[in-house]
Amino acid sequence: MARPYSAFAVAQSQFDRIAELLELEPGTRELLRTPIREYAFSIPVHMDNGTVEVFRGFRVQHNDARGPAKGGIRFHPLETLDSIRALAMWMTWKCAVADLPLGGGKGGVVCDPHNLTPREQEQICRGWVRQVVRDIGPLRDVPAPDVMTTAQHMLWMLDEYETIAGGRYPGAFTGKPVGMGGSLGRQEATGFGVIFTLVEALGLLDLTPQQTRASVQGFGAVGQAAIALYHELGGTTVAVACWNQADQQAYTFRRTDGVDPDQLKSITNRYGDIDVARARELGYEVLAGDAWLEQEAEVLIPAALENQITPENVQRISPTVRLIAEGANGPTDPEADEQLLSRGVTVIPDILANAGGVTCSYFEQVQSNGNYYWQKDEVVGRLRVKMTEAFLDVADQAERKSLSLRDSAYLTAIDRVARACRDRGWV
Amino acid sequence: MSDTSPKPVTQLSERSKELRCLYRIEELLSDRSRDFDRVLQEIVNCLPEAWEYTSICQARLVLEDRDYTTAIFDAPVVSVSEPIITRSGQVGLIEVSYRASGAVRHFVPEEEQLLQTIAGRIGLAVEHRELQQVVHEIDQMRGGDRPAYHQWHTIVELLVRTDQKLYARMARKLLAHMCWSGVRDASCLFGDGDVAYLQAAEETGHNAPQGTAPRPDILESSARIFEIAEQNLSERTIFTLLQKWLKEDKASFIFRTLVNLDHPLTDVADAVRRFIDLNPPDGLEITEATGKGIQVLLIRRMITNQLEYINVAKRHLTIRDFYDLIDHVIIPARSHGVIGGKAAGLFLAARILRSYSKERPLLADVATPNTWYLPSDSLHYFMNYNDMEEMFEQKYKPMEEIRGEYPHIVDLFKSSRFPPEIVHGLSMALDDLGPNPIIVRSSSRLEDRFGSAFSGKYKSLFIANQGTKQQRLAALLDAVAEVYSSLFGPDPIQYRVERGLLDVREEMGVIIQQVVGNRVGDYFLPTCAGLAFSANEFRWSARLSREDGLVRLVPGLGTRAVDRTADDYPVLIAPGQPGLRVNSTPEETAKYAPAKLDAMNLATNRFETIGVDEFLKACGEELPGVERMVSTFADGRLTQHSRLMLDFSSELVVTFGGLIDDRTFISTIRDMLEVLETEIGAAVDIEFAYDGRRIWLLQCRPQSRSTDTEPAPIPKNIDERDLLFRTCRHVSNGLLPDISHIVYVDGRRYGLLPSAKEMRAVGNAVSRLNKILPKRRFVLIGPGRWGSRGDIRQGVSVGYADISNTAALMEVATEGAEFTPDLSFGTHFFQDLVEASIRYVPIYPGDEASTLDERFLSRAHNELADLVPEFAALDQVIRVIDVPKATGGRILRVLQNADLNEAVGLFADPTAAQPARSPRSPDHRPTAAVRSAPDDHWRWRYEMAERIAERIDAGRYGLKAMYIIGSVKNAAAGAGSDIDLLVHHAGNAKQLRELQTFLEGWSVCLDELNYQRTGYRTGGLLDVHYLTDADIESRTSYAVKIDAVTDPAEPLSLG
Repeated sequence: MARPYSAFAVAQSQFDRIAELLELEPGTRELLRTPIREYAFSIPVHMDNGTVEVFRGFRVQHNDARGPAKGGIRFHPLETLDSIRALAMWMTWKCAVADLPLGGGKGGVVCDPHNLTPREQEQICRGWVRQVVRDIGPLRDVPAPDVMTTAQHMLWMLDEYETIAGGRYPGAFTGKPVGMGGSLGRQEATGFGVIFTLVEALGLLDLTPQQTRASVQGFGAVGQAAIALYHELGGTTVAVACWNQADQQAYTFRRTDGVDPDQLKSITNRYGDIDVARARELGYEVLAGDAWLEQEAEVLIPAALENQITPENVQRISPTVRLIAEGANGPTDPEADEQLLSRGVTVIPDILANAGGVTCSYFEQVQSNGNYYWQKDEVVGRLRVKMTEAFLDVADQAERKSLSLRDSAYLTAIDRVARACRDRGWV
Repeated sequence: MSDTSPKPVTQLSERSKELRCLYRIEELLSDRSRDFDRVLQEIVNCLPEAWEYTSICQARLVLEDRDYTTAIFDAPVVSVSEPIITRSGQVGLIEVSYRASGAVRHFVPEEEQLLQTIAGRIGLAVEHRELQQVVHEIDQMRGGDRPAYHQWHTIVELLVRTDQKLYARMARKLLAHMCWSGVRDASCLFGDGDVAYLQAAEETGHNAPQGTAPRPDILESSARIFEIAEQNLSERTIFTLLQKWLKEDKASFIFRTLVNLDHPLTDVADAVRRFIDLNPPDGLEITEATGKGIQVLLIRRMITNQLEYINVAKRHLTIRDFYDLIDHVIIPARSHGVIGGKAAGLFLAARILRSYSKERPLLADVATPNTWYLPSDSLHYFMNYNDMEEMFEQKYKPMEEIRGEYPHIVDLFKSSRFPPEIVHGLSMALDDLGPNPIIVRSSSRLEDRFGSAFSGKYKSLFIANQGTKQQRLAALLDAVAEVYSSLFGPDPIQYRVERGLLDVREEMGVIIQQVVGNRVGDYFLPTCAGLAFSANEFRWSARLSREDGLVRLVPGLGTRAVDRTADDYPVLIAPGQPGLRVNSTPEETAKYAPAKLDAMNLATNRFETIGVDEFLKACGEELPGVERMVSTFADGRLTQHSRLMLDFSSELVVTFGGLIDDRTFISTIRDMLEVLETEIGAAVDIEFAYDGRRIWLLQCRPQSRSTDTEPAPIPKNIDERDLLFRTCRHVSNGLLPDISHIVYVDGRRYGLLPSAKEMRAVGNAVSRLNKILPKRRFVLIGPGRWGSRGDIRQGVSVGYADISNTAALMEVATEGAEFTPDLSFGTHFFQDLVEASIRYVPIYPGDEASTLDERFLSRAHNELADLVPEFAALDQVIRVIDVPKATGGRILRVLQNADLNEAVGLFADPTAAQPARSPRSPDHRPTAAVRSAPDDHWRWRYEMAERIAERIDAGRYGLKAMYIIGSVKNAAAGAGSDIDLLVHHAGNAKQLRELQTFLEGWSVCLDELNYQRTGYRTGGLLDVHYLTDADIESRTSYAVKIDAVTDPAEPLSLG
């Protein structure tokens, strides 16, 4: 057997491949292969039953050459520095590909919120901030919610930060509720972002949304927003797949002349489960969960789970499909990705397609720092500009160097970070 | 006033006058501070007011040598009189008459009855006064520093003077006392047989008037006894004994009624009423021992014979409680019934809580709904009245017949008539309960008994109770009849067969209880309701202990908390640690929030299930306490709002956040559970409802110990070689008797997998195995956290659908290099596990007392490659073990015992319920005798499958072979199982269509037959998997089952 699977090792080898293409000098490679700063510390907490427990906390700032580090805080019982390093590195590339003036970071606490009362969780949040307060903040490192952390956790952390800092710094954390330093449009940002890149990608294929049909996997926040905007722009969604909690299986809902997003939304519960019986009544065909993949359409939008398009099912994708926009993280298996490339299907990689979320986080930070909050259409308008620019940069480079969009996205990102390091005279 | 028959209004006002008079007399007699002479005079004065022609009415009362009359008393024209009787015989009389004026009048029967009642009441009072006087005199004698023991003579004289029978009884007791104390003279007297007369004197009922005094010889013998006593006992002894016996004697009537089982319940009720009325509010003064004796007898007569219950109940129930109870029991004249199990539990629990209300002030606010009872034998009166006794033989019929006839029985019961006294009683109950919805519940003797789980088998019916009195009464009678009929339902009979309770004489009482709640729009419902368990058997965190308890809380009526539903979830709270929630993120909380609620629709008079969203939008604003029930879900956050600020058009999630934060609610429930568990001496579960203001206790019983939650006995001296694992941390209760397969994911090798892709493949393989292995007959053992959503190294990545058929989910905390794993406790799909009764077992091999036989798991033959060839590459990581094959025919048995905090998995011989057999041997053909045995579901299915194969025209349909797989083949089929068939088809498309049609016909037909037998309906009993030649060749799909190593498909011979 080989050595154990390590997320950080995988992230490093991914970087090494691009570094090779970019012919980065060894010093730069060494700097970018490893985080620039890591904090590991203990958080003692008085538990509700009177005992004291000590939790292990982390913050990794992978690189902040382009701006303050940005990245989530995870609460997970089996959290390790290894996975946090990998995720921090990924944040660096993600911010860079969207051309945001931000670096990458990630943090976490080894704990299981299922085992903690709300008061204990609050103590952990405040304890975490007390340990790293000197090294985070609106100008240094801006954490956000992640696995098992919520807006509430961010507010506790922000409050502790502001108490120690002696002022109001809403830009020190993102993911806050609207009215408490949050940004409008966060709900839709990722889904809209997918469509903004999609529209540009169609343009490169000489297509307009009106000429295309899409099949979408997932009808949660991302799927719903994406479909709504796509329809607004004249596109037709012929199939939507989603999980059904009651039946413990997924279904694909098809209407070849186009689904009605509002109608579907009206029979969908808050987790994105579409009511099967009502859908049938409304004239939708109810097919197997993976049928979304083989629909006759020009566009596929996997916006639910990772690892959905695999070497086993990639052949089932209809020959009509020209474009796949990865709304979810990692929906395409690398092997399947290569087959798609050889079939001439354009894949907008997740790091670019779903960067709408992090872009909106950036907007939240900007608004918080300026203590002035935009209307929703302003957020959406700026998102469009940002996503379009990011896509065109990646697409140009892909065109010039005959690369896949995925490789081009990583190349663009890593090149931007490497240049920032050089410009600063670090390497 | 006309002489024609009185109008209803007049009648009413007459009855009310009579009642007023009775109340007044009651009041006068109860006031012991008043002079008795004056009391009697006032009674006489108030009598005329109760008679129809008050102005010409006069009354007279003669008591011994005293005579009381109304102020005006002329010669009567017409009169009615009643004797006043005490235990010494007639002591006086009471007379009411009309004076000579106007026309001659007559008395109506009600008036005569009234006079009878009054005379009886005065008789009792006189008796009581006399006794009181005796006791008082004794007390007087005791007064001062030194009791004047010698004055016992005076007592005896007093007795001879006032109550000779009492005197005789005292003598008898004294005689018996002396005999026991070894007084020789006394023994002689006893031996003479002289005392036989005493017995005789005693046994004449105190209720029967006996005009004559005891015979002189009785008095003589008694005097002789006292002489002997004087010679042999100290004065002090005699005095003390007499004093004690006299006190007890006051209450002897209730004793005599209770001891004699021939007295019907009405007599018991009368005795209790008399006991209390003689000295309200708590009844006659009696010694503690006598009180206990009476209490126990009352418990026996009215509640239950069960010793465990009596032991607890006698500490809490007072005679006064029974006095309050009897007014709510509808007692048919000759009834000897009890109020039944369910009623008993609630009645006792309410009293226990009351007795703690000082110590735990929160409990003072817990209420119980107004409840009426029909005793357990009322069913027999009902059936007797309708000549339906032969129905009791129903339970001995074959199950198919029982099921087939049941709908007719329900109809028959519903169209039968009730005896008038029951109708009358129910009508009174309705008046008392008022026009709110009511629930009619069974309360049979078998239900809710200590140590048995006969719960939920009989019907409970909600009725809206709307409309005119007549309509309401009709609906109530209908419901009671339907509840009665459920005694003959197939499910409870089946249950009784299984438990060996079939021949027990089953009686069914009925509880009629107000539904707790408020009218909201057209609906009537409580704000929330639920079940609470004092022992938590489903712990989602290692920090929770069993003692923290568990609450299943739902909005609306509690029915949804009782039943486990697949698509909806109750909110789970551990009252001991309410901060530790199952779901910690707002998304999880929202996902597992209740989405539906049950309520009574008063407009349609029906019980309905409605979507919570729909309900809140329509009428949430009117629901009391709604702000404590819901949170607003917006922006990824759940927030609570005050009632005023709650926006019912926004997205609302039922979290009960306000109720939980408030702490009073949860603390009250916790106090209830703690107190009831301590007093009852066993874990309890309660049903409760919250109407927005207070908590109502609806039911209490010892925690049901279904196989789900029963602690499995763990044998001592287990041979270590038979042990697969032992674990001693965070153990819940449970028993998995016959596990045939183990799916083991080797934690060390899993951790060494080179990429996330391989790790995901492990999850996919498990998902595939979940579909192939026999349902609930296999266990999953894996490292760290099943369903891990974070770092995939921390556990196999699966969703609930991927493990839904397992019997148990086991997590092994193998110490790794990088981290000590923390187990998940199934948190990722905890609520799904709970609702599906999938057991969770954490194993900590690092613990000293824990073991896991990894040697066995890694050496036994691995079936993985044969079962799912596509995952053969993972055979180092996933090991599928066919237990019988690897252990020479044994199975794995998992025993979990939370009491011992120990769980073991051991290899054992299969239980008798799963006989080692060849299913094809003719010996196992169903016979009449085994027809309704619980394990015959597979037999019948197997036979049917054989029948299909025999009848099928293979050539016509292009059929090559037919196989049977799954639960029927494995003799594990349950009442709801389908028949899994593999059909090897080699014909053309038309033949295939025809074959499908043919089998579809069978499928529907068998489903109907199965419904007749078991009550399960699935829409089609056959689950047919069609295989082609290509499938067989490439061993794809179900073809792997044919000639498989593990659990192979069994061929059926074609006709």
